Amino acid sequence: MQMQAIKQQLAVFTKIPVERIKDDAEITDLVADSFMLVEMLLLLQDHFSIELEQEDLEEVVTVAQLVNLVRNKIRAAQPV
Amino acid sequence: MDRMNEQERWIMSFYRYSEITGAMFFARVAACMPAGPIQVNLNKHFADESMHSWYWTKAMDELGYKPIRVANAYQDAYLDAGGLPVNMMEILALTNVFEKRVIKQYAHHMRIPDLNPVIKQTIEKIVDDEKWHVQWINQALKTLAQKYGEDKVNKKIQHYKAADEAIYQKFIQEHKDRLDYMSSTLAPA
Ligand SMILES: [Fe+2]
Ligand SMILES: [Fe+2]
Repeated sequence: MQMQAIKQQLAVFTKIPVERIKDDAEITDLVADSFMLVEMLLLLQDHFSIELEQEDLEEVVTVAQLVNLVRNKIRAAQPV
Repeated sequence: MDRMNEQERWIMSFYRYSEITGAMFFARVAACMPAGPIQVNLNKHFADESMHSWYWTKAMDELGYKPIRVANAYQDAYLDAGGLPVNMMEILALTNVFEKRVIKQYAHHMRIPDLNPVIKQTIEKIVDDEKWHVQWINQALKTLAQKYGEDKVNKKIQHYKAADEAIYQKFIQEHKDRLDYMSSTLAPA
């Protein structure tokens, strides 16, 4: 459920229909340039009230990896 | 066009494109910033960089130079070498280092003997704003240090400083031929 919500945000930002955002697509292919990628990451953080760091993104190449990272951050931010 | 004018045209085109790229970057960031003091300053910063590109376009027009298309902005090299900043602290740490480099570069340029008055006035006008850019970012980083810790903020600045040194040395090497008319003012970083 949460994964779908994260992908939905990617769709809202990129204006690519969510069903066309494939898990194995590279996140750099969703955006026109690196500036747009920065904006997309800032919006994700704002929307899900999480914080990402440069190091978090080091291993992230695909949509699935980004969605996973955001999901883990949301979980970590939730009170136990 | 003689060699000196050719070089002048190239460096002005480079500055112009770099200012445009700066404006585009801050446009992206300002567009998605939540309301607050950082948003206010970021939006002014974005407007300034956009004006700087206009000052260079106007100066080139006055001197009869047509801007050359520049393939890569200095900022692109930053993102390649230093990695993508992904939160506000990282964005401001990168910008802090970059703005200082810009001020240094314009200061080198001001030391060229018999500098064209149009270029001189353009740089003077721009540098006033650039100094404010460094100031507000330093202030914002101090505030953000309360959240991230001073150590983390300083580490990020050092990280981008190292990238900046490497990029600048590469830049000078790569454009040696185009920069030789100002080489006497280009002190090693
Ligand atoms: Fe500028
Ligand atoms: Fe600036």
